[in-house]
Amino acid sequence: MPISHKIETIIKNYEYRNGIIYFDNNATTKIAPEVLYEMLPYLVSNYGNPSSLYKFSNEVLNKMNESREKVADLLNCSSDEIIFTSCGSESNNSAILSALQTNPNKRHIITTEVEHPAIKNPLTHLKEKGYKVTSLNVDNKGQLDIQQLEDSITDNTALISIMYANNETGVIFDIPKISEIARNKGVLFHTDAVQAVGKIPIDLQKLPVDFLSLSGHKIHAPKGVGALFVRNNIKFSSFLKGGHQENGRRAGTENVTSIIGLGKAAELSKKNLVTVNNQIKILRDELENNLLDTIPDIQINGDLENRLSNTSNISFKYVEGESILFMLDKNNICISTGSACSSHSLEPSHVLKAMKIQSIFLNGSIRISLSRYTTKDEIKIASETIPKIIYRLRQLSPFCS
Amino acid sequence: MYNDKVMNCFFNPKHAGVIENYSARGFTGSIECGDAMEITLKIDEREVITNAKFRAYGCTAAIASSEAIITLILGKTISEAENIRNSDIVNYLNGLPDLKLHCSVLGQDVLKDAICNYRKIDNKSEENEVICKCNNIKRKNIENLIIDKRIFSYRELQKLTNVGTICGKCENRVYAILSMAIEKENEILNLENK
Repeated sequence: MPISHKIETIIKNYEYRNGIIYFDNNATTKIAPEVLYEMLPYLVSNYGNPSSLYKFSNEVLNKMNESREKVADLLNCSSDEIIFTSCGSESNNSAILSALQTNPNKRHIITTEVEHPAIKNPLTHLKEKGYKVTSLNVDNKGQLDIQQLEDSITDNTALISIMYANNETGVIFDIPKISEIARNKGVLFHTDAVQAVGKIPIDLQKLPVDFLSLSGHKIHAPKGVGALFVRNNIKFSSFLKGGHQENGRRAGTENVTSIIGLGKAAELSKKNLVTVNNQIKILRDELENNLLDTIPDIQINGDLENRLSNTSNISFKYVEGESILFMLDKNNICISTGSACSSHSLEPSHVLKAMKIQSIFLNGSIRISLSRYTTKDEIKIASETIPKIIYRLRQLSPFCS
Repeated sequence: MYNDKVMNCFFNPKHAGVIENYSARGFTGSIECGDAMEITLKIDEREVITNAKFRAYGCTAAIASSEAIITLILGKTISEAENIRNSDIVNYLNGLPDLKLHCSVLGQDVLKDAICNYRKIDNKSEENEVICKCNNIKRKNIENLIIDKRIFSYRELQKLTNVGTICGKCENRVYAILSMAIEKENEILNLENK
């Protein structure tokens, strides 16, 4: 079979997922068909380097800048405030290091205990290099004490970096209020908004945020592309040094096709922002209510009033998360867990631990995260499967009579 | 992550449950550490393990290791079973990921505990006896609080140690330890008064 036919076959099977119910959309998401459609010509025939001068490349450059406009439009900022990067982690590292390099006299950073490793680990590294890092506690709902934040700010504080929404629990922090405090105290503010972008409205004209990170593959664009918003009047020092790309702020030939995909994904996210996220919330609430009705000794973790509409973090007493994961996997349902046994370090979720969730609930926690592709049918199947699995595992458990 | 043998033992364990009127019972682990195993054995007069069942709380590897240990000991005499090591469990399962090898150690531990129970040897000295299995709280933890910190209320002990805060089955045993301590205290007081 000629290669072009083989490619055609793959595209034809685009919707084919082998019966998999994908409930792990905070880990990654499916590439939207509209996104793939937009990308394909640039993978196939329009392969010019956007830095070249001839018209074959100009068209690519224009398309890439169109993407920049679309991302800016989603966040309501100016397109020259958007730098394309390779991922959320790169955006986070760039923001942190730039804030420190442009404020060499200040050596204190404020963050939270529940950040993603893409913030947590760079900050641990900086701590070893002599920076002072304050990690704010959360309460048992996963919320911050704003007063504690305010009290932690000193003249030595270079940066406050606080996530917009938590990847494990979906808990949304009060970023409007927090960024206002940072602005009033004259401290740079960065937010890792990888989970929030596309799920809640973000208006950077109103929000006094200086840096914001986002990731393509969380909003139905491909993996390997992200963006960093840097407010126009903020000094920026580049992380990746080399060529003049991205206005000299991020070297390396641009990941053109993925950037084009991210642009389309941002456009779709804006279009779907309110209506679709409301529909996802209805499905999420239906699943939670079904599980609460059918399974005893269960709790939903997090601040239920301030939570992403697609995320549910649920704990089951007497059973362990990894065994739930593999039982669900056998039933073609993909979820993740915060149990100690499932992690590569044998440490339970630092987020649930920071929330002081009791160990019997902590080790039996799973995260379900939906997307706009989740169907009512899938919710029905999961609502029937999960109680059976919990019942079966509880039968095996010596703690459950 | 896991091989087919491990997955098969996890999905289709043939020896899950509890034997009524068991000859010996073994228990190890806690909810705190994320893994726990219980085995119950039926042992005949020739010391042959004629029936054995397990219950397990924990990950895939913990449940598969429990199934493995039962399969390995069935039909063996107690002294034969005594020689089974965690490496035998790993071999039976065609290997476990490095991070999960501790699950096979739990399998060896629970067997040891059951054999001690059969021989009526105290596997743990009395002070190391686990009172609250859910939170792995030992007799000595509770006794120390009563004697040194003079805590004489169950609720206070719960606040300080989390004892009995999960399944609550150990409540009566904690009360027994408390009343023994109070009795001792009264005896001493009486002696002093005399």
